[in-house]
Formats: sequence, structure tokens, C-alpha cells
Amino acid sequence: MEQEMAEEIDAYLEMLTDAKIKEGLNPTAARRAALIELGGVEQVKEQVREIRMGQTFETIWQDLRYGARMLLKHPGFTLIAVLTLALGIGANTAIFSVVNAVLLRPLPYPESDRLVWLTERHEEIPSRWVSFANFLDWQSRSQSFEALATIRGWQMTMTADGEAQSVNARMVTADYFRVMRAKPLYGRDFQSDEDRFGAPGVTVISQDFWQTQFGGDPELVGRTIILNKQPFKVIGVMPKEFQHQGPPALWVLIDQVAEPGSGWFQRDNRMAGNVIARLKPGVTLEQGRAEMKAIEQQLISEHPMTNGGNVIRMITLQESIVGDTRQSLLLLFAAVGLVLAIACANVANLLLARAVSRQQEFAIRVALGAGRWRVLRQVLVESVLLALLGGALGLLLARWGVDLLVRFAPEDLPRLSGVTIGWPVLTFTLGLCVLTGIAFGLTPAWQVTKTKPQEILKEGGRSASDKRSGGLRSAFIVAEVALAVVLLVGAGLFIKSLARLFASDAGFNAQNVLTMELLLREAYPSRPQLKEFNRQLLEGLHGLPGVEAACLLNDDLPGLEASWQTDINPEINGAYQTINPGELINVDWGIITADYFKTLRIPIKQGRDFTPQEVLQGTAVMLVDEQLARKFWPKGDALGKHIKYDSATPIEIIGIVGNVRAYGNEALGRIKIYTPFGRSPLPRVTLAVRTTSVDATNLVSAIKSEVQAINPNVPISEVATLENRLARTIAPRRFNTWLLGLFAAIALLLAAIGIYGVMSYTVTQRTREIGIRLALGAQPGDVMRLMLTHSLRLALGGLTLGMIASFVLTRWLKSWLFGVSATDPLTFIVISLLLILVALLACFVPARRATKVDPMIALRQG
Amino acid sequence: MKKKKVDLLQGTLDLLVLKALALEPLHGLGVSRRIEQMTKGTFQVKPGSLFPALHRLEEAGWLQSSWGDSENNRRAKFYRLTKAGQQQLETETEDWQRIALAISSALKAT
Repeated sequence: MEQEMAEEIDAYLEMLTDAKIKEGLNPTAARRAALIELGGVEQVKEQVREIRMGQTFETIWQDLRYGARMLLKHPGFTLIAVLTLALGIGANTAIFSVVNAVLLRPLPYPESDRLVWLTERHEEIPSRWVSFANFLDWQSRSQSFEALATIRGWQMTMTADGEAQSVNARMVTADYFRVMRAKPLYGRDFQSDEDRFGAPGVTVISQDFWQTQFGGDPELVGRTIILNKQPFKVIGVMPKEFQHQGPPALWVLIDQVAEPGSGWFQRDNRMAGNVIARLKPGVTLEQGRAEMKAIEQQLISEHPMTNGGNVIRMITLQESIVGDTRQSLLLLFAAVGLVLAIACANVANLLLARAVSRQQEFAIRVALGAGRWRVLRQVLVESVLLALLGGALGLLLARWGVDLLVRFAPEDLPRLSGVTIGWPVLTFTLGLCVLTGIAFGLTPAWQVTKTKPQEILKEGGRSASDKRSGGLRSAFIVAEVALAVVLLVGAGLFIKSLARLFASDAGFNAQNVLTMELLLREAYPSRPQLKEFNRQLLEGLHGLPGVEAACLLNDDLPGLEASWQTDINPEINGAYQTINPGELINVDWGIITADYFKTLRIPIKQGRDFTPQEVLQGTAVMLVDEQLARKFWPKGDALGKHIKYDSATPIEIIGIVGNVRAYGNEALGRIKIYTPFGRSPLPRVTLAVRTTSVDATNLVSAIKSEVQAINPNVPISEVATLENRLARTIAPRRFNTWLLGLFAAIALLLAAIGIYGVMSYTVTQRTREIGIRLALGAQPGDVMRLMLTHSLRLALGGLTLGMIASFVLTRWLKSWLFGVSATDPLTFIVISLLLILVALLACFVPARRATKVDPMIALRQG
Repeated sequence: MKKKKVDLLQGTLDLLVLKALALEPLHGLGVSRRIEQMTKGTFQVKPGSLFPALHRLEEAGWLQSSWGDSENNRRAKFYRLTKAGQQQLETETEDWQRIALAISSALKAT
């Protein structure tokens, strides 16, 4: 175009020059005069360009208005298309908001991509806490970090006005806020010289705690509060925007709380927590990892006993927070994408059907010189307009959907509070609309370009292209059905997994068990005092009506994630092994009172339970689970053998109990040992009570009074039934299953609508043929059968394709499934039958319409 | 019906171009010459206005262009009136005459 214009202007110039020469000017003067008269070549070009630009916009505006008019003229079609698209686009937008908030958004800390999270991996434990001694070595020997800090949870008791309250705190090292680059709202944060035992206690509190607990008292900074019976001066308040790990009510320094020389700082006592660090600018994650690997090797060779087998794990902070949810979220995103694809196929079919009836209109426009591209563009504009309408409605649906998602999402879905429909999501939706509009607009547009105007106008509308588009329409239906089948199979497997989970036996009975946590640290600082309290409590509880059994334990309730481990050395053939570093046998560890097994209904397979005396005195006895017994004494003679675990004292095995599994986990749990409470009385215990009635809640106040009767200063927290706590662990699974089920249902509905639509159209198309058949003596039943077979063929085609695809794709679902194989035949069969049923139902009405065709009218039709 | 001065000229220019091509196809310079001749020198159309007009009329489907040889044996782009263009010329001529009549009777009135 540009080229041609340039040539044209040149030609004009030449001719003008020639004319001037004829008038008598010499060639150079003539040329100059011509140029002046032209008024500048570039300006002319520019003016033509402007006109053309204006025309393009004008035509696009025309297309939009025309498209809008077309859509309004066929309200039924427009409504169905917009609703279908709204469903597809809305669902995608909702899921994307979650994906965006959880996975894509950067963390709200300055330069958050420099923050890393370090833990240790040991054998099959993927990540565990670090010991303080190791941390100090990491800190002194590494060069890659700007700052490092440890962080762990710590329940503290705050006493004020004689009342004791349990507060959720974090124990950190002085550099913590420096690592996070968080500035306090008031006051200051920790200084490194405060970070030692014996320095005056200091604490930083969170803004929320400051407001709820102290009413936002502006004089609070500088005042002292009592934590764990020690004075701590409040030195600062963190703004509520700082949300790392909670935020907790307050932060304290580990060095101020833990006594040096106590077990806290032993290298094999992993009490410091996790390590968080900020990489120096310019240092990559890989470089950091390499350096830590070297340090890890150094530490293993220097301290083989404690560090043997440790592998330092370093991931970005973001990964540590969201890494676990990534797979699930991506699965949901893929599923909802399939739903959109089905919706697009439906709308494409609708448009194809319409395109056929608009063929005359297109042909006329092409014949009048509109140019194929012009008509094509008009069709695409119409499609995108449709998609935008669907998107607008979809956004409304998405808002609703996001609200529901946030309400029902599992609590531990990280960063959920930030899920909103903000700019990134809107941009996504807009882009999606345009893409889907073009996607489903291409088919009728292609249809348009294939038409030969003369053909159409001659035959007055219907032609061979009908048959061609019919093939395309069938292809869409088959594809739709296949996609729906894939979703249905996926959802079916998930549903079956969930059902299996509920029916499974994890080795204990969680019904009617009430649990709560008691913080005894302050009230009973010494071991004998702790033991006495425990004895009194259990005695008192036994007397309570409604209590079937009660026990105390460390906080490793069965079925939940275990956090108490120890290393054991069993006596085999009368001798203990010499322990090779890194080869310690690490097991789960339960510290319990008598009646634990009775409370949780864990069967004692051999031997006996503890007696109350043994629990109180901490006698050297223990119980082990079957796994352990079988592993070390396969002949079944574990009773009476000994195991050493935390000291040189051999502990006798007096009983063997059933294995307990983590709830919702197919893998067998780790080996577990059970030792009596008296050997290691805990300052923080979990109380578990089996109640006789189903409604355990009214027993809560009775139990609380019982505790308070012994000592009113013992804070009680985390009151919940064991069932609820277990339910929380499978909340993510339930969430995923629900959503997948919902998407599969929507997909099935859309596919059914698609089949209905196509069958309706087919009936209308073949009215003449049906009329002839009826006139020639066919029975309504035959016509019905004809239609049904047509639809069945489509459905079966889609089913087969979908089944094959499912076979191939479900292997990726293996990690989510419980007790169900990825190719579970029952699920596949049920889905197949369901689909066939739905397909038959969907085409029932159009098929009946076919039988009602009046042959006379049909034959007269052209 | 308010038309800016530019618009009026644009509309008039279109009409003149169509009229210029009523008898025979012409190239750009030829159209400009013809308009000057028809209006007895009143309108001298510069290329800056002419080319946009020609392209606009061609986009609208009233003109059709093709490359050919000019009288000096130079290559030039020739424009020709299409059937639709002929129709448009007649319509616009009628409109123009109606407008002219209306305005002159308005001016004559006291």
C-alpha cells in the first residue's frame, strides 16, 4: 500500500514537471516548481495515512455496532452463548484469582525473592528443625547471607492482674526483623547486644495484640509485662502489615529465654526452629546452596554423631510457604480450563449453526465487494464482543465464586487473605475473553471464507457447505464429550478416594474424643510438681460423669503430623549395636499416661498397658508398635526385650500395640514407641478425653473447672474434638474433591446442552428427509431410533476418546489418590454409563420432535 | 445540520472528483486539471487534498483504480467511476441542487 502510494505520488510529480517544462521552464526549475506545488511529498503521504487510519477505526466501530445489532436480533442465541461463556470464563477467573494470590504474587516483604528458608533433611524426614549450635556455625561460616535468624513457635503464659493467659509467641534471634526488613510502627526492634541470657528481657508485640490486649495504649512501649513469670519490657510494636507466620502476639529472643548449658543449646537437640535468611545482593540461590553444602560436609565430619546424615535444605521463602499447594492449584486450574474449552466448543457450534443461516448475508456482502477479510473481521469482532459480554457476566459470577472459595477453602491454604479480583485478574479475564472469542469465532469465520458467493446466491441458502459444517459440528461434540469424560473420571477418582479415606482404619478411633492443651510451664517448674499435677488431674477427671477415659500425652495425637522423635538402639540377640553415626534408628515418640490406648482405642496386641504407678514413677518400661516389633524381632518375641533411647538405661518392652497411621495417608506411619509420662514430664501437655455422649462440648466446661480447681493459673488452649482436628488435615483434599466434582458436573451439563443443541439442529436440518421417511411408511419409533443412534454415535465417539485420554492422564493424579488406583475399573464403568444415560436424555426431546414431523409440511419445505 | 467548513469542502471535493471522472478515466493530475477547468479556475486542488479524497472514494467503492500509461508514456494510476460511483454522483448532484436552491431562496428573502 505504502509502496503504491509512493509510486503514485512520484508519477504525479513527473507529470507535473513535464507539464511545467512544456510551459517553458527549464528542467530544474520545473521540478522545483512542481515540488512546491505538490506541497511536500511526506505531508501528502501523511494526510492519506491519516484518512486511512480514520477509516479503519470507523470500520471497526461499524463492525462493533453491526455485531451488537446482530446479537440483539437473536436474543435466544445470544443469551445461551453469553451464559455458557460466563460460566466458563467466570470459573477460570475465580480459580485464577486464587492462583494469583497464592502462587504468583510476590511476598509482601521488601525484595522477598532474596529470602530463603533453611531446614535439615534426615533420611525420610523431609524437613526438621535445626539445633542452635548448628545455626551458630552456619551463621559464622557462611558468606552468602546479609543476615540469618532462627524462628520457632513458643507458647508463653502472660500474667496480668492475677490472670494467666496463654499467648502465641515466636522465639527468634536478634537479626530476625533485619532479615525481613520489617520496621516497627512504634519503638524499635531487637539489638544484637540484647540477644544473650541475663540481659533484661525485651519483647516486640504485634499491632493486633497491642489493640486487642492493651487497647492500643500509646504508653505501652517502655512498660514491662510478665511472661512466663519473668519481666519483659515492650520495646516496639510491629505494624499489622507484617504478617509473617501469623503474625504471633509477640516476639522474644531465644537467648533470653533458654538457659545456656541447658538442653536447648546441645547440638543434638533441635530446638532452635527453622532458619530464615536474606541472601546478599548478587548471590544466587544456587551459589548459596553450594556454600551451605560445603558447610554441611564440614559439620558432618566435625560432629559425626549429631550431624551425620543431615542434609541442609534451602528453598526460597515463597516456596516454603506455597510449595505444597502448587500442585493442587495447578490441577484445579487445568480442570477449569477444560470446562472453558467445552464452553467454547458449545458456542462454536452455536455460531456454526448461525453462520450457515447467514451464508446468504455473507455472500451478498462479498459479492458487493466487501472483501473477504472485511467480512471475516466482522465475524471475529462479533465473536469477541460475545466473549466480552460473557466475560462481563463471568466476572460477576467470579466475584461470587471467589467469596465462596475463600469461605470454604482449607484454613492452611497460605496467603488466602489476599484473594481479590484486582488488576492482574482483570487483565487475565480480558485476555481470556479475547482469546476465547477468536478461538470459537474462527470456525464460523473459516466457514465464511470458504463460501463461493455465486453458489450461495444461486441455490438460495443451503448448500454443500452445510454438510461440511455438519462434520465440524460433530467433531466439536465428540471433543466436548471427551473432555467432559476426562473431568468426570478425575472427579470420580477423587470422590472414591475420599470415601475410602473415611472408611479406612487408621488404627485408632477418633470419635467422641475431646482434646485440649495445657500449659504447665509456669505453674509447675519442677518435675515432681508436674507429676503431681498430672496425677491429681487424671484422678479428678475419672470421677467426672460423661468421661469414659482420659489421658495425657505429648502433643502427638494419632493421625496428626508427628513432631516428637527420638533415636533408639534395640537389644538384638542380647547385645546392643555399636551406633554408627548417621545410622541411628529414628522413630516417632509418644509420651503417655496409662489409659492412652483405652482413650484412643488402640488395640494392645501383646503384653499390657502401663500401670498408674509406672507412669508416675517413670519406670523403665515402654510399649512399641507392631511394626517395630516385627522389624527387630521377626520371630514375634519382642516382649521382654530392651531398647535404649535417650540414655544408657535399657527400657523393657512390656506391650505391643497396633500400628497407627497418619490420617489420609496411605503409607504406613513410622515406627512408634510409647514411654511413660513420669520419665519425661512435659511442661506442655495435651489432654485427651473420651466422652460417653456424642456432644462433648458441655463436658468442656466441666473439664476446665476440674483443671482450675487444682490450679487456676493453668492456661488452657486449643480445645477441639479429635475428629475436628483430623478433619482439618484432610480439608485440602475435601476442597479439591468438591471443586473437581463441581467442574465435572458443569462439564457434563455443558456437554449435555451441546448434544441437545446439535440434535435439535440436526432434526431441523433433516426435516425433509424425515418427512420423506415418514411418508414412505416409517414408524415414529423408527425415526426416534434413527435420531437416538445418531446421538449415541456421537456420545460413544466422545466416550472412547475420553476414556483413552483418561487412561493416559490419570497417572498424574496418583499422588492425590487414596486406596484407589489411577485406572480403577469401577469408576471408568460408572462414568461410561452415566455419560450414555445423559446423552440419551439430552437428545430425547429433539428426537421426539423428529417423530412429530408432518410429512406434508416437510416435503413442501425447500 | 451543522457541517464544519472543512467537511463542506470535503463533501464538495468528493462531488467534484466524481464529476470529473464522469466522462472518462483519468489519473491524479488529470483529475486536478479537470476540476480546475470545470470550475473555471475557482478550485485548484492541491495533491494534499486530492490524494486523500481519491483514496477515500476508492475505499468507499465509488472509484476503481488501475495502473496504465499516461499521454507522455509514463506509468500513472488511473481512476475510473464504478456503477455505484455513478449512482452516488447522481444522488449527490441532486442533494447539492436542493441545498443550493434552498440557500439562494433563503438569501433572496427579506
